[in-house]
Amino acid sequence: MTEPSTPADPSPCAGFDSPGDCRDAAAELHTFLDGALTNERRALIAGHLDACSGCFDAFEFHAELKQLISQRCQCEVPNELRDRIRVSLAELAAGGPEQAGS
Amino acid sequence: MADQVTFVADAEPFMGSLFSTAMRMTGNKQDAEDLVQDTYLRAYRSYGTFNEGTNLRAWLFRIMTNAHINRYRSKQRRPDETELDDLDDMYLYRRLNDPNAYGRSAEDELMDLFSEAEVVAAVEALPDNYRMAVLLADVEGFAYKEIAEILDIPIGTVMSRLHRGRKALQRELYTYAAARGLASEPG
Repeated sequence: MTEPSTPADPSPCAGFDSPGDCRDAAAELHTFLDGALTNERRALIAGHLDACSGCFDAFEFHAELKQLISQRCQCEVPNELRDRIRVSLAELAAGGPEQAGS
Repeated sequence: MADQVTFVADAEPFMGSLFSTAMRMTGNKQDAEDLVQDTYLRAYRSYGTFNEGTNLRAWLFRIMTNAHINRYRSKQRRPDETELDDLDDMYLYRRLNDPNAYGRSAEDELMDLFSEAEVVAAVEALPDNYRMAVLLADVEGFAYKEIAEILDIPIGTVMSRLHRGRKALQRELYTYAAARGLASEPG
């Protein structure tokens, strides 16, 4: 039985442990995802990711992980806290119970 | 120089962001509320020293992290720095994709693998220094330079704390996948 042919991987991932573009990309994975690389380094790695599906997969995984952490750590401010802070600030502004600079 | 009269209007939009981080820093609602309130009062008092046009959100986070550090200095856990050196940056990815360990299938969405409670517990399990760096980078999206200013540490230290914090977080998350019986114990 023949499967429908899929285009061959243009450049199979060499793995993250042996010297080469894949290892170099992996070393800058987080700096890349944090948007902290120079434009030149960023373009080089983006170019590699276009050509290497193994690295692309690993980068995508970590981008999703970053997003997951961010989403799961969001909390709504309780209304009573918002009100409490407004009241305290208004008291401070009016020279209320707490003295400025204390 | 910023004017105290505009403080509430200027600073209130960042309350959600500060409260989310405060929750993960303190681990409980009461302490998080106290910390955020304390932050707003301190910020109000010193608003005259804030340079208008600079980053107000980062300034507020700096006040909050200082308040937190002062409050909890005695309770801080010291991370064992060498212990994480053996882990690699892609620990979780490799483990989850290792057919002998977890054997994640391509259809398994990362979002579905970990519950909100698990992600929160994994973040809260991080030693203080690492947790702050991870929260500021991944949850709040601050740049390395901003984190360096907020925590008053060099950029190199920001990067190394982030690096170690992320490894520790990945290891922690993997224990949840493993505990569910879907993956072998980390070894």
